[in-house]
Amino acid sequence: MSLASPLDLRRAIGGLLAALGLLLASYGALTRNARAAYAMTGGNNINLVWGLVMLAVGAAFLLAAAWHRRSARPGARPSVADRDTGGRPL
Amino acid sequence: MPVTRLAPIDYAVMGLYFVTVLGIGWALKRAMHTAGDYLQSGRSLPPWITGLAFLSANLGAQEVIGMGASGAKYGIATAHFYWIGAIPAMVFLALFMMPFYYGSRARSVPEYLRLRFDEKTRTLNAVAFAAMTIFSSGVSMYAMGKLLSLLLGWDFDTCVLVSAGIVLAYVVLGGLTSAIYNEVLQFFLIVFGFAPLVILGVEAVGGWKFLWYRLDQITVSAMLPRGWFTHTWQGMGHPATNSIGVEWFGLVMGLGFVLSFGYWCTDFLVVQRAMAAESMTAARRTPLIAAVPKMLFPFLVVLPGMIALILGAGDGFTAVGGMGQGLVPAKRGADGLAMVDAMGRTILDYDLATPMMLVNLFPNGMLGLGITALIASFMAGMAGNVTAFNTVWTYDIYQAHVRRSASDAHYLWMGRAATVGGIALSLAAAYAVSAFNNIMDFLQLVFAFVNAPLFATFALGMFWKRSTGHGAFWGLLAGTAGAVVHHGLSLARGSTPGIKGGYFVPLLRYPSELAQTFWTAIVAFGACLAVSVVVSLLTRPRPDDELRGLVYSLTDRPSDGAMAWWKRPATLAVALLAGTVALNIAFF
Repeated sequence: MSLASPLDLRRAIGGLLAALGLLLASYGALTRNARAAYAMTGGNNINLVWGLVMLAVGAAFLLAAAWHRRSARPGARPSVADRDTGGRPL
Repeated sequence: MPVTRLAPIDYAVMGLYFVTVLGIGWALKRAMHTAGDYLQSGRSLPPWITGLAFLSANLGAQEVIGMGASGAKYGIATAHFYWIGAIPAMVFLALFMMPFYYGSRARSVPEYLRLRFDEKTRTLNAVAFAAMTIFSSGVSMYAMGKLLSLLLGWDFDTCVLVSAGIVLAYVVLGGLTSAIYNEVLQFFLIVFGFAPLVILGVEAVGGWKFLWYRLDQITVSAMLPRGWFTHTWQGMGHPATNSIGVEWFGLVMGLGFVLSFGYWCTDFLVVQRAMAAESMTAARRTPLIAAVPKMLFPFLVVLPGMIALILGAGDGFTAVGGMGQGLVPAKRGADGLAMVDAMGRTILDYDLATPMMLVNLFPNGMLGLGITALIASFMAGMAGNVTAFNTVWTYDIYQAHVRRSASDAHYLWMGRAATVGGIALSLAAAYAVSAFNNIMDFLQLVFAFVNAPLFATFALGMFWKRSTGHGAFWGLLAGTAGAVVHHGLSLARGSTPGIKGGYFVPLLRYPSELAQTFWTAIVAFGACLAVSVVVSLLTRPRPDDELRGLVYSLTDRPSDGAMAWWKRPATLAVALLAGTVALNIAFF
């Protein structure tokens, strides 16, 4: 049985959500004057707004991953997350 | 002619997702050393991951598209499929059944049947289950290809082949862990893709209060009984006064007990996720963690269908296809004309309710995210079925009947080969379904007959030590036979004898197809229970010693006493049930 998985899923989720959020928010910022594009959403620039939301959630996952990595280093005090997983890295 | 076109930004969103999916498969390849790593994730995953995957694996074609369609057809009563048709069974699985699945160290649900009963019961269950996963995965592919070619004008073959190729790549590389990790990713994508759809939809309707007001207006103008779209329980006293056409007893027994427990507590597709958890506690928490979002999912997937029913010209929307209700277009026959029923009313193509919401409410950018979420849900369904198939094939069919004691490396190889074979067969199934549409209706019916009695067998196996292998085997067959007979003797109003039932003599008339389905399940369950009990009492039971860890009365209860009270599975279970009751009252 292999104990250490080579991939922290928190990082994958965080990375994808942050990248998608950044992409959508930038696109929303670039198209902020394109009225016709946002007529269907009642003038809401949903790309910009939702892109920022996704970016924030993605960043939170990346932070959690970084925190988890730091506390999983040898010699470090085990974090709450580690105790939950039996001290095993994810 | 496609309904809409994607812009480069949409393709960029989609591309980012696919790269991540394949990257996960690639990164996990290094961790796959044994058959156990590949087919069971080495039983090493934390519960938040297995919990979200448990939920996601069930998100096939039937969930996102189908529940939106039901939302447009039945209104908020669709939430019964969650609040009574899922949560209680998930809680029961967590508290009472996971200790046996996980504790027996069975590698699959059919293998539990082998440990508890005998080889023939296991094989019957394994073969039926393997065939069903291939078919479901094929249906997922077919539905996706059909939808994307209609919506975006993409080529059906390309859609099917590319999606199959991506699922193949990430499952062959990283096995069950890869499928589970990607299911968690798909969960987040679906949430982030559909939440803004609901928010924008409710805003377009004029707000939350207006949504319910306007649904009631439709009810009045269509001369339907009060609360048709807006209440879950109010009209349940009589089949004619609620949208799903069932009375409360059929709903609670058929959907809430037989069908729901039969699916959530015995289907290896979902149970496999919980069995991959790192410990007994994690395995028991898995369905409970899954139940939290499950309880709230009606707001994510059912509401879009209900909103599609009301948005229209008055809100500045022009429904594509026209001649429908709101954004839900009319169903068109082969001649391209809108179809009408015997009463002259337009038949709506409910399956397009949610896709039409995406197309009408999302500008480019978000549209890419929404379509990607849709594709993700189809791929989650496909990958879930394929990973369940390769495990059941390798352990319960190949190892049990072809090569009993080969090296672990051989079974690892077999697991990978079964993945390739499973996807190839799913492709064949997808094309068979697209060539002969009747196959889909027919096979769905067959699998419904096979599945209906399952919970009776598992419940007897786990909670009655006297039940025997012969009892289980003949009970399962009797349950399926009972379903066939009941279906052949009954017919829903408006159906013609044939695939819809009544093929013997249509003696029993039901007010709706759902009522017929629920009662068929109840009959199957009853027949299985009765025959299992009688045959068990006539055959020799296994000695108690052989049943330790497999039967409730002979197994030590998992003790949660050492855990803080708020960490215990039972505490979460009570909170979940209380939440479900509260939701039922709020939408009574």
